[in-house]
Amino acid sequence: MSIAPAIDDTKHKHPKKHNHYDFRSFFQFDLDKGTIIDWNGSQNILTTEDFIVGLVEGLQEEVGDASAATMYTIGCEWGQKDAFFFEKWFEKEFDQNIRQTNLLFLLETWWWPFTAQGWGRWEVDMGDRKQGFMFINIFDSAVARTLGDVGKPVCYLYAGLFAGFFTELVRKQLSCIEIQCYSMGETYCKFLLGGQDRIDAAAFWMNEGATARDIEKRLRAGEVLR
Amino acid sequence: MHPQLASIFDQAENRYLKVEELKLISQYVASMPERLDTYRNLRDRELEIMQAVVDQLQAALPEESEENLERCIKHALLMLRYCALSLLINDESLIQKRFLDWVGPLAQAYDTKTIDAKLYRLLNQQLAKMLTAKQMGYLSPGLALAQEALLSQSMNPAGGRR
Amino acid sequence: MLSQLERLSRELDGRYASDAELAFVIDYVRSFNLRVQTYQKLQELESTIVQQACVKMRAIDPGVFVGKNQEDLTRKCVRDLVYGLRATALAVLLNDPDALQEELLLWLQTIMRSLGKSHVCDIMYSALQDVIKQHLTPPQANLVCPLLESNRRILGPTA
Repeated sequence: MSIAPAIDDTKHKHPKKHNHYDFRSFFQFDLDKGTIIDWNGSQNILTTEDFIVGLVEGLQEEVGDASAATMYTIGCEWGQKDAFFFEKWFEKEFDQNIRQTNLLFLLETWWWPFTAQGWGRWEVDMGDRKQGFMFINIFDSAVARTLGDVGKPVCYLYAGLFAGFFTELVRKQLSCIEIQCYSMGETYCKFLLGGQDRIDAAAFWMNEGATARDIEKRLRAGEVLR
Repeated sequence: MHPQLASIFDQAENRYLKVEELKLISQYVASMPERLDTYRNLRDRELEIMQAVVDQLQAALPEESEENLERCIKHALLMLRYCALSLLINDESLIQKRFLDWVGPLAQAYDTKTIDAKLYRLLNQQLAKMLTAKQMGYLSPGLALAQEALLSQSMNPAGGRR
Repeated sequence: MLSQLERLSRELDGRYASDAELAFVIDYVRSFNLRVQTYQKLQELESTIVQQACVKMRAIDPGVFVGKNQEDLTRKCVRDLVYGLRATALAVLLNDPDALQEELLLWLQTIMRSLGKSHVCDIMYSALQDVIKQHLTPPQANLVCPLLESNRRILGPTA
């Protein structure tokens, strides 16, 4: 015997409610079907940290050192697909073309579902946009928090996600690298987003032991790799 | 939360609540002290209630294995706890979602209906002794729901006991 | 109170709540009449409060309703003010600052920052506190103002 539960459907009652990112509003649980569909129609699954550990360690076991690049690539594909998905739901919700919208507002709106899903909160620093790069901070990275302090950056999925998404958004090839990570003992993760030359430079400097601060300074001073 | 209350807030969407809606909340709050009393009574006398039931059940069903009896008693204990919570929060759906959905299949798999029928009779008698009429008024609907659901389940189609 | 109750219900997971865990329910029942009173007063005086808050906001910063391109943002600001006030009123009624934060403030904070409106929020919730204190009794104001101050801290510019 089972009582068919009423589907708690906030969206149908208030489709134009923009502040819908709390747990109960954003996710719709259908007990009968066993599905979790979010406000934008995406299917979700709930996972524990074991899943993340399994993913990372399993990949490591399969492809060794290539796991970082693999996660990055996965992230890129995800980001790219998400850009198209995002454009559709944003324009539907705000009756506005994404390219005619205040950029910061657009970005905050893009990231909110990720926050609702547990990927962490973020902060975008577009101060260096004119110079062709920008920084993104992630607080409570799901991957980093799960793996803890392992002495190396681990948020390749995020880096790829940003690269893929922003490349689609600005229609220019962008790459992303994590220059500071919770898994290295820092309090939050920091990503550099920009052209490949900038990313290569940052990677090189990181290899030589540069901190995130060093990298920021050098980039702002116009340093490049010869 | 009571589905009626939940729907008020779903619909409220930034307007002020209507008088009838405020009334519903007021009613719930007014009933809170009694609900709390009922809940605490069940909590504080749980051992007393269950011990009496266990003793009587063992006497009534001497041929049943200890394992089977224990299983049923554990389930009944949980049932009582979830019914208590449900009356506190005034949300009967909790009983289905948090209890029946998973204990139901277990009870069916182990085919505990015979024991449960006797157990519930003893339990309800015991509760009637330990609770005031008013408190029983809060508990009974949810308890009846849970007991009827478990007793009305058809036997495991695979037949027999595990 | 309601979201706290829900949270408790999840945490209990098959056990009983202790008296300590139930204390907030008793507190709420005790404060309920005052909360209803306060809620209804806010409803009754909404237009007055909003009007006076706007006057106060302009007194603090004459350009507060003027946009970057000199456009008049009064209507938008009033709309935001009303929205925030009503959400706060509900939080007062239900004693649920957590729900207010999760359902509105955390999201609004990022949006206001992205639109460069943090300083407007700062002024708005300062002004509201002043106006509320003028119209509500001290016990009533003591229920509302801490929430308004919390709104101000969350939505205003970071230190």
